[in-house]
Amino acid sequence: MTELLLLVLLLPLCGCLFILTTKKDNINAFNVAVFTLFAVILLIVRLLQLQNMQMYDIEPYVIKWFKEYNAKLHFRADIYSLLLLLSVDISLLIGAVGLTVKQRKNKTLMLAGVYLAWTFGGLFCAGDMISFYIFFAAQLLPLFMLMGKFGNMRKNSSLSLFFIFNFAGIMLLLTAIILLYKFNQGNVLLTDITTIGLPRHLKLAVWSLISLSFIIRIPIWPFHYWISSISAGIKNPLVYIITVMLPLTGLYGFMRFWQYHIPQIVGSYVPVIAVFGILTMLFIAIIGTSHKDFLQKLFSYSTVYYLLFLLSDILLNGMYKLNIVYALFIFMIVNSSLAVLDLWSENACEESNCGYHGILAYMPRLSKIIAFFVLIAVGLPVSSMFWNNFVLISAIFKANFAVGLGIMISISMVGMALLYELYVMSDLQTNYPATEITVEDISDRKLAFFIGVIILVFLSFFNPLWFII
Amino acid sequence: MIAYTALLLFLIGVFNSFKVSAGFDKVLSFFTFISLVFIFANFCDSEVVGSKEHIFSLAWNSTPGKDIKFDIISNSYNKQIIIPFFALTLLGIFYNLNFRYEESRSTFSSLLVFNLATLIIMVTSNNFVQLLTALFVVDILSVFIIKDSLSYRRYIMLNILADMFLFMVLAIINSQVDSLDIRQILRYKQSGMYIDFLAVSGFTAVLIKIGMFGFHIGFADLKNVRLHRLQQILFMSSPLAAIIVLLKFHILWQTSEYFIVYLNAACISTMFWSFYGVVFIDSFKSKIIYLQTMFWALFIELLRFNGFIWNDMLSRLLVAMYLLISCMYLIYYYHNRLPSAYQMGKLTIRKTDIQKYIFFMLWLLIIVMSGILTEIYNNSNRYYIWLFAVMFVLALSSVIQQIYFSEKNIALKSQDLPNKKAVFTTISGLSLFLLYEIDYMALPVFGFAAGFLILCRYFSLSANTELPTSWQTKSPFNTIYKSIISAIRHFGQFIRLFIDKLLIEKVIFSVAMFFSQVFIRIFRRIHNKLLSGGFAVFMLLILLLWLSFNKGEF
Repeated sequence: MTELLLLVLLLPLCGCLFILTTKKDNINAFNVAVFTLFAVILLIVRLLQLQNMQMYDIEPYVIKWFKEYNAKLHFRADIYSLLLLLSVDISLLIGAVGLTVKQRKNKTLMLAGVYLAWTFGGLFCAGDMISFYIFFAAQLLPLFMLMGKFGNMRKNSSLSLFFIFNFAGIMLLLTAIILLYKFNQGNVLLTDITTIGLPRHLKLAVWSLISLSFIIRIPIWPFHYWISSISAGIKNPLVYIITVMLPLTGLYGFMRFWQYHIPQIVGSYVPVIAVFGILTMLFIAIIGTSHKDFLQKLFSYSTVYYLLFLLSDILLNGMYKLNIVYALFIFMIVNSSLAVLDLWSENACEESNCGYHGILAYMPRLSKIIAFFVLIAVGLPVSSMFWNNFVLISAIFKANFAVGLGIMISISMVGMALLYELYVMSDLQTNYPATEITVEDISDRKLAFFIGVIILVFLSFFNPLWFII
Repeated sequence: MIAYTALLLFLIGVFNSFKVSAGFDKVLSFFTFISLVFIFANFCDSEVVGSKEHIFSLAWNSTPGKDIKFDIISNSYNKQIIIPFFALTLLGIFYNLNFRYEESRSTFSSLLVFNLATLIIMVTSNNFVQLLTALFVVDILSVFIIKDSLSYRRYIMLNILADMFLFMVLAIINSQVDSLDIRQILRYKQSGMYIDFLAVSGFTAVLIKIGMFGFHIGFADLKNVRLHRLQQILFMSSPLAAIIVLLKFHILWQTSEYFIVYLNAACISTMFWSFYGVVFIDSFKSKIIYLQTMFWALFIELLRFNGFIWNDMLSRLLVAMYLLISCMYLIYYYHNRLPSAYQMGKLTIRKTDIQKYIFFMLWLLIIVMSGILTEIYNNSNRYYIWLFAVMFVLALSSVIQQIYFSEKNIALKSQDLPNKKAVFTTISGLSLFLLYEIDYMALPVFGFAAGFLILCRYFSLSANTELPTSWQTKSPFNTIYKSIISAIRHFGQFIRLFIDKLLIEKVIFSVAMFFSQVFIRIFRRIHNKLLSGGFAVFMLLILLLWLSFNKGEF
């Protein structure tokens, strides 16, 4: 199993090397990327089967790095990391499938996609603070390149903001890790990190720095601005999915660093995070309703749900991690699918000049698929997200009624905003075209791919891990 | 027994959902109907006696913390509730078989069968997740039944809102009792936390789903839906699902002192508003929609008088109302599907034998319904049942008066219907059966029967075309809903501009940029060997010195 884990970690790196050697303007890079992601997905499913839902059943793989400095790197995986990694790889695969022929020939994009799959793998399987930091920081450069190339270039300040915020987050985490390293005289396992004896003030400083570095990645007010400004205007499905995935790293950081309990010293500040979290949720949900673009509404939706998962983790003291991960697994897939499907419909709009209103009326196949995913996103019982959200929201109501109420209002608003946008996209009568328009619906292969995704999501309603049976 | 029936229904639904050729479609629909009749007969004959329960249980989803089971509980009470639902579905499929209004009859029949199976799952469910899931499925099926995206937009939005309310209510209950079992809700009464909030939120969801006053616009938008589809939505879709929810949770909600007040206020306001709708809005389908919301208001009050316990009288009332709407349905088709009731009234060729026969059936149904109400009154002794009943008859007679007895001037030929004998025989047979079952020898029954005839002939409230059209087309609720949504949108735009652009981008980032520029200037001064640069280096050295002597102890 350890060898399989190592393969999961190294395969994307090999994929990167292969992509580097491909010719320019060639589809080979895309083929390598898809093959790599697909192979990693299969390996993760096999690992999940072998692990059989045990916590830390996989023996850690240890790299003896700088022996004299006591800096061994540990890589291990459990059900949380494997499921999240699986969801990330499936989302990236969905993003890759969503690319146009021209975009598929972009070698840089493919390289960045597979490289990020590798960094996500490393991050989720990191067992100690140094390896966690390495992969946490390693995501910045390719992201910066992708944003610069495919992001909203009308506003250069957005790119600066993205870099400043993320660089600041990395520096804060580095400072905290150096302090921990100094006091522990070596590297620290993430499972032991809360048990390190530190002076009171230093403990407060270290945990505040760690929390802040993760919060910067999760769009909590006032740090939400960089991600909202950068995601506006991204029209490349893979890049959009990668951008929307970033908060997952912050959320995972909280889940890993506060694995068993929240350190007492920062525990008293949890209500402050909860208040900011709930205000941001409401704020983003209200803003989501004011937008007239599906992708913007989807962004509001994803932000609100990330915050729901964050609040579920910190307010419930990590007791519902498995429910969070089950819900996140479906959430990531649904979010990516909706982004890809919307961008397809937007492309169809541009190519046929038929306008946004009623575009789905010309594309019955796409319309049915997008409607299914919107129904999941709204919260209908067609995936395991429904049941797990129910458990999480129930527990939040028990912990804090006002927070629960705020969450319900926010998720209802973003869900209904998405549903309304679906009607706008299907409503032909409001803007009926004068001339007959032909719009090409999605191809059979794409339809088959998304039917596969739908089956994956729908069967999770009966068993979240049906695919490992 | 119920589980077996539900399974059979599900299989029939699946079988009917396959696309078949037009020729085979009718045969398939016919055999579907026949098989459903046999299942229904078998279901009615089955012996589910007394308190003995048969539970069909299936482990559905297993997650850490809680397992979800799919339970179908067969007992006589559940059977009593299901029988009228089954009867109404059978009638719906029967009309579908006899009228050529669907391209694919079997597809529509499959929708009705799935809907019935889902309602059975709701009735027999014992856990929150099963109940919520079935509720959502009913909503999804209603989209397919309506089949008109412009019409169902607000209906679905409101239903999703109601589902969110119920989701929240059940999550709160689950958080307190730590159980998904509906029978455990009584334990919630012990803690009693947020009970008023629960009652008001939960009942609001029920009101939205039924389309009561304030939330009726979703139903009002359905006036362009085909009448046979509309009839199924008005009876068999979200309203019945909401009634089931009410039957399941009334025990808890009743512990709030606001619940009954809210219920009465909702029912009375719905009654008056719907009365206005039936009498003054000149659209035949709108009149039917409002007539139905009037009926639901009456039905909820009757349920309350009966202690929220379903009984045979309520079943019969439901079937009688369905037949009454079926008569309206026939009137509509005999009058060339004219959208305006007033225009129907002006149809020259009318009062044919068949139309007289429909009128007779309507009168018969009024007798049946007043008979049922008399029996319920005898049990509950609540005099204001009659207030609701009078308003209902008044509203109905105004529509009939407009169609049958107003001035005639349009020369249109009345439309004929296929298989009219079968339909009329069914409606009249069922009406007579209900009449036979009811104790109709009572003074109120006589009063209503005679009153209905007199009102139909002379009641002139329905001369409504003189009213300004704005009264009929503009609803204050449209304005209210639009105002709420636009207020939220404007607020969203405002905070986006104020907080994101002004506060964060212009203030916080500007301050951060200012400080970074200050640092850059200081370092430039150090590089340029200026006096202030030397001072800055000196201060930095003092800071380092202090840190060194502090020995790292923070």
